Amino acid sequence: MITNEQTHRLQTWLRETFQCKDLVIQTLNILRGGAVQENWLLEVLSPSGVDQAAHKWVLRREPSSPLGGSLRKDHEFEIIRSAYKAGVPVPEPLAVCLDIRVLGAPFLILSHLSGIAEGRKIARHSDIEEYGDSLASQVAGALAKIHSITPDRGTLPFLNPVNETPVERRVGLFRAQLDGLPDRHPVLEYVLSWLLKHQPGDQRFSLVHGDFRTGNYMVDNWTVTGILDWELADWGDPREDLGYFCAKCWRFGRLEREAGGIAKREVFYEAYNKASSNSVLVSGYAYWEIMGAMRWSLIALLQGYRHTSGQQRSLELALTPRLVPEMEIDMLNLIKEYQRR
Amino acid sequence: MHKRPEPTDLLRIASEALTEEILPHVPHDKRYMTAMIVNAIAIAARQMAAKDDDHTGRLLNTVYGEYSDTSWDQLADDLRSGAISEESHPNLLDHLITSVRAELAVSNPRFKE
Repeated sequence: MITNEQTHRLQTWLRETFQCKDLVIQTLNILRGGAVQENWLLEVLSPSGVDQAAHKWVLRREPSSPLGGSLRKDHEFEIIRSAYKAGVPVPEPLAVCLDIRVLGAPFLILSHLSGIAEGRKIARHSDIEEYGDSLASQVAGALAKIHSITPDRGTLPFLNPVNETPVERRVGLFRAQLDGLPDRHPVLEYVLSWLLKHQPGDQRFSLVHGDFRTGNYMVDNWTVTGILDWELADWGDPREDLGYFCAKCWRFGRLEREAGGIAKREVFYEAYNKASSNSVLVSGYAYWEIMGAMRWSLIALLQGYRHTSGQQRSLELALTPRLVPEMEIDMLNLIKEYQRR
Repeated sequence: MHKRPEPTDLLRIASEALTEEILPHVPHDKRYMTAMIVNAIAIAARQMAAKDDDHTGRLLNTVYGEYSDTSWDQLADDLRSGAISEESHPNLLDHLITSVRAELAVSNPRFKE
């Protein structure tokens, strides 16, 4: 909900920020998608602006109490900017506002991208057979560029410094998130201990997107126009994003297309290795898909807690934690498979 | 007090009526919301029907022994600290799988492993 008064304040803020006295908001409509974050289509006219043009932007507003582990809006802005500079297809980050007097919560202004992001529509499209491999290659190429950003360059100083292994960092975060919830989850505890005990020896740190899945990239005419939803980005092992992308919970029912419901896992890994300076072995998939299912389990529990704690009453949020047993059985079966080898 | 039909039966028939009679007539942009309502009612019905099936109690008995009064929270702590692990309990993974399958029978019985 954005009131008329808020729209007026937004217009004033945009005029100052973009130094355009006669900028006028033409439309401000809520966009579908995003169980937690709010996205608005914002169309403005700026007759005396540098390019004297009409602009189509997206306004991304933080919820009144953000999901645990989410980045601050100015930090999300910096991450998108560094991804943009690294050549990752992303909406161009245009401005950030932390002053909650404008819209009640911080927000970003991003360029508007064409296309659709709905995972189910993409994975279940009748042309996926024909275009799935090309789509997977584009997504893998974008991911390789994200992973070219590394902590040793002194970039993104607001992210916690790295002084443990990527797996220890992630397990530590997940345990802390579990400790913030009212109920205990023995199966998740078992899997976290297992992940720690079996961590691979060849880990390295890069930027990881943290919610990299079908549904979080925009597709227009089978071209990837942008990677969305950066608020869970962090330093981590690049294979976290690959495992999350391929985890069974993100295939939208197209189980045989392990890579996000759009292509075979091998196709995705091969395209990634071609585009990246990393070399990732597809044979190590199980460990990172367990990690991926764990990540989604935590997000699902945190989303459910938004509802049960009364921060944001919503049927969708209320049902999300009921998915957790599905991730739990996937993780336990993968551990069983791993142990048989 | 009127007891029949049982609350689980009421929820089940309400969910069936929604699916069969209402869902086909719901406009496209409200289908997802309606499907979520059907799902929420169905989960609640299954959970009420399964209330006597104490799979968490069974798991605790398997891990700690029949007469232990160890809690679910304690199991979580022990799995985190490593006090309970594959080494101390060789069939732990299978017991956890059995317990999660009982949860799935409530949350999504049609889930394909």
